[in-house]
Amino acid sequence: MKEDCELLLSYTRRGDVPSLSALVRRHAVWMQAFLRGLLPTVADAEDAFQETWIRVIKAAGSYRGGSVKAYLATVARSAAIDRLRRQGRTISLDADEGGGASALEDMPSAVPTPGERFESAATAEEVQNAVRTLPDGPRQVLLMRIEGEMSFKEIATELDVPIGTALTWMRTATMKLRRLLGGEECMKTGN
Amino acid sequence: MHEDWKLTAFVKDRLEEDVSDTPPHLQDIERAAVSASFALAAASRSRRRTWGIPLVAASLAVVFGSFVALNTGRSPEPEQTVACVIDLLCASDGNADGIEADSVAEKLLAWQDAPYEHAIAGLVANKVN
Repeated sequence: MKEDCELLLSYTRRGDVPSLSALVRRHAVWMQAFLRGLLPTVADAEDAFQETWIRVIKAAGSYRGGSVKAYLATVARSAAIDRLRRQGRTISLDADEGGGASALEDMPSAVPTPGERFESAATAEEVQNAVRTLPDGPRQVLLMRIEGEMSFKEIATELDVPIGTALTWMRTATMKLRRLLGGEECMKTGN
Repeated sequence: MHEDWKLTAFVKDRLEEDVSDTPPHLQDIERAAVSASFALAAASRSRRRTWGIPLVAASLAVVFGSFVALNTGRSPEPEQTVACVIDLLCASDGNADGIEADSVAEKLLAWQDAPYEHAIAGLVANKVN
């Protein structure tokens, strides 16, 4: 099976469309999950998915080696942010802004009560909602880390923050998620 | 940290759980890829065309220069060329007996084909004779 970079370069250098299609299929799942975590609706995420690949096609020569997944995550994040801007929303890098505690309190149906957490946290929808309630900075770091599989160094560079900040936001994200999803119980269910 | 890893693995699994592995808008993406591919190929052809003419001209100049250099050992000096032509014209117009059957045109052709020094020598000899 061809490596990601071979497929990408095969398209960018020789215009090999089947290689690009193979790349799109290979990265479809994580990229959609990534975009769903950043954007408010599934439709937004699907449109941003298309926009991401259009950008990859147009900026065919911008890939400079390294992890293709990290490159795609960077392009996808940029497409998501632009989409939010067009909708009059923003993604803030302030860890305390952008749908943090207040949004969390406003979501009684999405966020389970302590007694309900065990079962409800096992559903994908609840996890998605929990992720969306995270403040923007920690949410982006979490998604870039677990879906984009980017290193903290890459994340810090992409977000233009010190690496210590990226690490702190990851910690903040996991602590908040643990609280939202019911701690150890949900993890036992998920495994 | 291990607990964090378990949590993030759990979250990743759940986030991807209800996502279809069929890429959305795949046909639109492929159409855009085909269009961009054609545009890239056209731009590449255009670049080749733009560079092609100067490249061919430069190649011909190099070949011609090499031919001259190989046959003469040096490039003809412009003043020599002018003097040679003037001599030919004078010989033709002023003294027809000097070059007799060799017309100016024939001498010029010979000059183009033969090594430069030989042509000059031939012309001088004809004029002297």
